[in-house]
Amino acid sequence: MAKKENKQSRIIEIVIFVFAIICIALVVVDMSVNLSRVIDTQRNRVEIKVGETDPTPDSRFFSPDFQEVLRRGEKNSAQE
Amino acid sequence: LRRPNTLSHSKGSVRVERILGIIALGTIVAAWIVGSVRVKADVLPSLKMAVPGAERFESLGRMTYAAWGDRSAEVLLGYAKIASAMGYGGPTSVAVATDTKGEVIGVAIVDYKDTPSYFNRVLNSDFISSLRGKAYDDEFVLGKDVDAVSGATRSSGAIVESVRLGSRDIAHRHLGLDLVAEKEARIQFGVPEIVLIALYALGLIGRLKSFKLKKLVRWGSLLVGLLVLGFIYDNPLTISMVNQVLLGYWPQWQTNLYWYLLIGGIVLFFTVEKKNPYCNWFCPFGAAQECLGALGKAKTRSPGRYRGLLKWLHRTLAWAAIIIALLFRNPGLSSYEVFGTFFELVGSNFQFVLLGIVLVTSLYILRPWCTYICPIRPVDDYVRTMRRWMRESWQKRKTSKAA
Repeated sequence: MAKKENKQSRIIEIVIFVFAIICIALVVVDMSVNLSRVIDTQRNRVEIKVGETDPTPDSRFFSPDFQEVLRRGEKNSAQE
Repeated sequence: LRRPNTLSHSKGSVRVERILGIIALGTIVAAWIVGSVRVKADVLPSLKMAVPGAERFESLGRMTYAAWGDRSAEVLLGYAKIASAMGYGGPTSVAVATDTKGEVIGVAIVDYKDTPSYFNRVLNSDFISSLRGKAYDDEFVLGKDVDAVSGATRSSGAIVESVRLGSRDIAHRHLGLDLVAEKEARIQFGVPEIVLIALYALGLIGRLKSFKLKKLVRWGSLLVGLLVLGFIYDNPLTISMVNQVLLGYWPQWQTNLYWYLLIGGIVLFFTVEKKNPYCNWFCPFGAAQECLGALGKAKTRSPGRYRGLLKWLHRTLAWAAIIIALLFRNPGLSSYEVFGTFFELVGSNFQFVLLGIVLVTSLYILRPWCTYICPIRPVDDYVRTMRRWMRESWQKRKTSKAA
């Protein structure tokens, strides 16, 4: 009888362990998918530092076009 | 409820817990600092999406840009502004573009902090395109002149508010148009707030030692929580709320009284009564598990030799969720709870599989989600451990001073 109960509690232990591991694995995979999406969309961006009102350009965005945009912006601010 | 995964508190394990507690605190502070330095948001691609015909954007300061239709800046298409409003998990930023008469010609999402599965509902609908054609002086009232996306009302509201603020700012500063004065925010106090206060009161009575109907009151409280806070309003406590507090993304109190009552109430009861008033008394998902447990005659079952391992895995998972949220300054990013999946059928495929496993297991094991997965329990454990430590240190100092 005791042997049977011992075996039963062992089975329960394993069931709980398997349940928890599967759930944690699913959570980790889900979190990784969300994280990779965010990281992907953050590539090739213009940086904004907290507290600043205007974007500070990332070096990757220094195409001639964009530099011109910034120059025009500065000129405009100076006129204000 | 017993805690089957709580180890006996030997001196050694207490010391390990405290050391790891300090390390966890250190890493959380470090993640907060790193996150605040590395925060980024997409601006130029969003501006291009908001005004697809623009060949050039000219910065006018205050996150506002003139959108030109040609490179020589002769054809002005309108103005675009990056505006923000508080969503479910934090500020949602959008690029809103208007023509020279103040009519919205384009809207693009720059950044959001809401749970991705909810926000994707908005992105996959035609909600954003429905805002085109709105004028700067429109009311932008959700449900009145703009239809919210079902199951993502807070995310929809944040976008609408950002568009309203952005278009008003453009009209005022750059188009010289007259604005109707802003109305003061009205305090929103309704059914969820009343129910929440009633549940706190019920719990307070139910936890009295002399109270004889504790079991009955607890079941009543659980069922009300399940029905009202779960199925009707889908507003349970999540790790996203904890992250919001840590990140300082505190919503406007007038329109988010529920948020303040939930967080404030828990902190208050935890401090005064030294008990968690939420999890065992009216957590909607906990109630759902207990209902299933009652059907399947579930019991608190011990994981035996795996107890320690599972407890630390559980805590590591919650810690990782907080660290990720702080690093990316996005409270909803790591919110892995299946509450929305259960109450609103919103979630990823992984979350639906997870929910299915948890619900089936709930028939045999009492509250398996709360015991092994939910991130709130490790937060609860952490606060208790640190509080106990502080109290002991204080008492030691007091007795040594007296001696």
